[in-house]
Amino acid sequence: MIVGLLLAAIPAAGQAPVSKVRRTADGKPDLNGIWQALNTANWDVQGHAAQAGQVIALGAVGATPGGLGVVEGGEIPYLPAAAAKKKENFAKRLTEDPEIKCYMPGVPRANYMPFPFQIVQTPKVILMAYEFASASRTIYMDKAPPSPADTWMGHSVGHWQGDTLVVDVTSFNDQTWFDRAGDFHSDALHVVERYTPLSPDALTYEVTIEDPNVFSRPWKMSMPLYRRLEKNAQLLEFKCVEFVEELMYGHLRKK
Amino acid sequence: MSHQCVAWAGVLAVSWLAGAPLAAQAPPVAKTRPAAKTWAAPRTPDGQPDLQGLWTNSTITPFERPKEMAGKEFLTEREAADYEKQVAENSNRDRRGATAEADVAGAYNDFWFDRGTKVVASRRTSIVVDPPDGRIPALTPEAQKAAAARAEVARRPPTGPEDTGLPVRCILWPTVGPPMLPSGYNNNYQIVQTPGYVVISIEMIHDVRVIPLDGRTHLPPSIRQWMGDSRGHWEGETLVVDTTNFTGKTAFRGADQNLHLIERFTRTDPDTILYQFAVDDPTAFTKPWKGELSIRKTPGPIYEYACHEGNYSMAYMLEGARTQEKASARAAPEGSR
Amino acid sequence: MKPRSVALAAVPVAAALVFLAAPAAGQTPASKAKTWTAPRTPDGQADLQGNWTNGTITPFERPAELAGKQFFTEQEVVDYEKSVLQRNNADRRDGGAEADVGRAYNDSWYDRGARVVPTRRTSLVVDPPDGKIPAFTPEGQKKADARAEVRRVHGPADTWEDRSLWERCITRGVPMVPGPYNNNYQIVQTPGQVAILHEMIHDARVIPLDGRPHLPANVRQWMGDSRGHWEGNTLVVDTTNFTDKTNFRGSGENLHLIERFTRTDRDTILYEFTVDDPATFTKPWTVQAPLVKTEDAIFEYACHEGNYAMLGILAGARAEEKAAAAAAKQGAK
Repeated sequence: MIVGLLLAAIPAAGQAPVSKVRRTADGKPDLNGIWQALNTANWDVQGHAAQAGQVIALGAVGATPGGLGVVEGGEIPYLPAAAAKKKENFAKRLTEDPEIKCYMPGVPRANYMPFPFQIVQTPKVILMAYEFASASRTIYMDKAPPSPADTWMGHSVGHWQGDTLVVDVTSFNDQTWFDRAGDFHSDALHVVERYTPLSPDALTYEVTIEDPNVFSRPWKMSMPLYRRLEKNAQLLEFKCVEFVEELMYGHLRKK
Repeated sequence: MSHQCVAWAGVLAVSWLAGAPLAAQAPPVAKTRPAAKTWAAPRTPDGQPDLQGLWTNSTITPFERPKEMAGKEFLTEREAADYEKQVAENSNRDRRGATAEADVAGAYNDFWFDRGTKVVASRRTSIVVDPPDGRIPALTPEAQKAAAARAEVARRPPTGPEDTGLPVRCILWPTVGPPMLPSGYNNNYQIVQTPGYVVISIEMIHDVRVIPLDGRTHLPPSIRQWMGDSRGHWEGETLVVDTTNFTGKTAFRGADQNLHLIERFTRTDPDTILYQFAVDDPTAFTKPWKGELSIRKTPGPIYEYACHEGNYSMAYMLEGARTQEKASARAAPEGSR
Repeated sequence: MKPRSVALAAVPVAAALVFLAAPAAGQTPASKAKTWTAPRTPDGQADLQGNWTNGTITPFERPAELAGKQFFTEQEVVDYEKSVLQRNNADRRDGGAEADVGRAYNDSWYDRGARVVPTRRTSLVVDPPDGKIPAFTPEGQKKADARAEVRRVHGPADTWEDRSLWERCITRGVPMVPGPYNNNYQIVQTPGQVAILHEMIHDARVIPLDGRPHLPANVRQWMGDSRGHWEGNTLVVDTTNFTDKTNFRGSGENLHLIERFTRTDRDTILYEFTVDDPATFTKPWTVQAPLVKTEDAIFEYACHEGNYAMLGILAGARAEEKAAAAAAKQGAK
């Protein structure tokens, strides 16, 4: 209810130049700040009811909260073999989800994990620093060097289309997932992100996903990102390597 | 008004709850004013008929019409008074049982109950109003099979918590539904309205139904919820709530996940809401059916019904079942000797 | 400039490798005009932005053989750089099989730099003047002894905790001290903050300049909690709230680190830091490690994601134990 009221008070997404948006010295919307998604896309980008977790000891803490999903049209257009692979991933999610091992989450997943991230925006580069796993990415706004190799967080090249920051992300490896439900991609993944101010404290974040090895056509996610308004908000460390060492190396601990 | 249980132990270990008759104190007086046809509910600032306030749906009217009342749709005033008296006597739980076992079974004495003491305002002999015989229509063969399986589970001692029924597990009570039906106690509701929403806070089990009125579509079919997914709209004086997206586990009176429930709330006088519901689930019932009851104003307040937090009975029931098994396992080899 | 590792396997198997002491080669250092003024960002900060590297062969502490000598002459620099280059050459195939395997990370992987620092100082530690980290306090010594005792009692890899934070891919940490490769940093400035992206291990420090207080004392971080402010052309970054496991050269959780960044010419930032930890060190000490402009891009250093080395190290240790146990059994027979 509260959300509904708030939404009613602010202009709709996609509406052309939002006048109240803060701007940088070069006249672009000022995206500097700490942002976070408030949804359950990290559990499952598609709509889903709440369900029990897989680790009994975690009880309610480990359960999946329900969510309306962020995929436009609701369904991800998997190719038949990929649909089977997704199912398999889901069944094995407790061991196969790269998030569990504290691996860098890739894009767009890094933007909708239940952790904040910080945008540091300049005309030439935009740095995105993520709390989860201390992951980071640089978005090149002018000269973009070629990507030296496939990567976890991709190679990001951005430009402004009016008040929308458009980021083209390529050079991914095939190691990351989109969510804990096993939605995945290959190293042919091509992501186009669009960040559009919705108000001074909210962005509309839209993502187009293209990967001919896995999907029959490009598809889209969209969601708001919210500014963290706490006084003196800052990213804290979530250096989760330390938290997964027992899981990953425990079998090699000296007995 | 009778006292509501503040959920000490929360759940009753048994499932007699639904249909059983009643006891105790002065009823929350439903000033049985005949619903004047001309009476119109007050309006909220945004023009909705005002349903706000604290309400109870406790009643001793049985859900389905008992055999002995077959063919009789309404009680006369005299009959209603007799019936209320008789039910009060029959269900008096303050009597000390003849045997120790009966006495223990009455441990939840009348203090704990709040079934109400009155039949519904219409003096109907059942909450089910359609079919006219006051009985739920037959289940489809498939639904019969599912119901038989559930009955089989209910018959045996529980192997685990999932065998014990949704109220016992503190997942879902008849008070919540939907449809929202009276149970043994804590049959209390608070309705709050804001532009675009009707919100029903249900004392047992602290569930809140937030019903949007803005015409949005239902959730996608992939999202299933115990309480389904409700959308409301106004038809004149009547709030109509359309609910789909139930889980197959909700199983209201044998319904499956295809249940399409339509509830209608009409304020007929300052102290009464006529609550009607229509059950449409062609894969579970051989035909649609309907029910209605009156919801009466109550002074409240609404209490916190912490069900799961105090659900000692679940552990005891399971422990009891395990103990019984052990005992019978010990007995068996002796018997075979 | 040498190719950098894009972190295929990420961590060298013998992590103890080299950190500091090695010597040199390369380009002409930018000369330092005292009068040079840094360009400004639109909001008036001295502009430190761009990509920087602090790879150098200048040793962290002054080696015994250079005792009393604070600076190299230009000729000494040439000789020193040459000798270090030879010593560090990992492309050599001389020596036995073991030495050969030890050089499996050949020169292609390294990027220590080939030059001493532009100041021609003989150590990165500039204060105390002897170029050595001051002595531990009794408490600092006790902690160091305790760590040594753990190392003595433990094998080299009883668990991952016996390996360094870097090998564990947790962090290279602060202050920014050059290592054997990926010594690259990207600085980005916006009104109110300076962000420093450390290529290894993709740590991004976003340093607020708005005068906010430090985190509460109960919040402790591997890289501490940094606050910055400008003193003229110098960015001063004050960092506290370290964990007691961070351990920079023996420091404890009360380490107060003060870093100073001053752009002295187009291609150089004079990076200086002072380690103030009275519980650990008998006096504060200061290091200078210049940052030199690089036109290279920052790469993704996926350390943990490719940390096969950790599995290898631990599995190796377990295999050795098994072999030793088998040998002991054999001997007993």
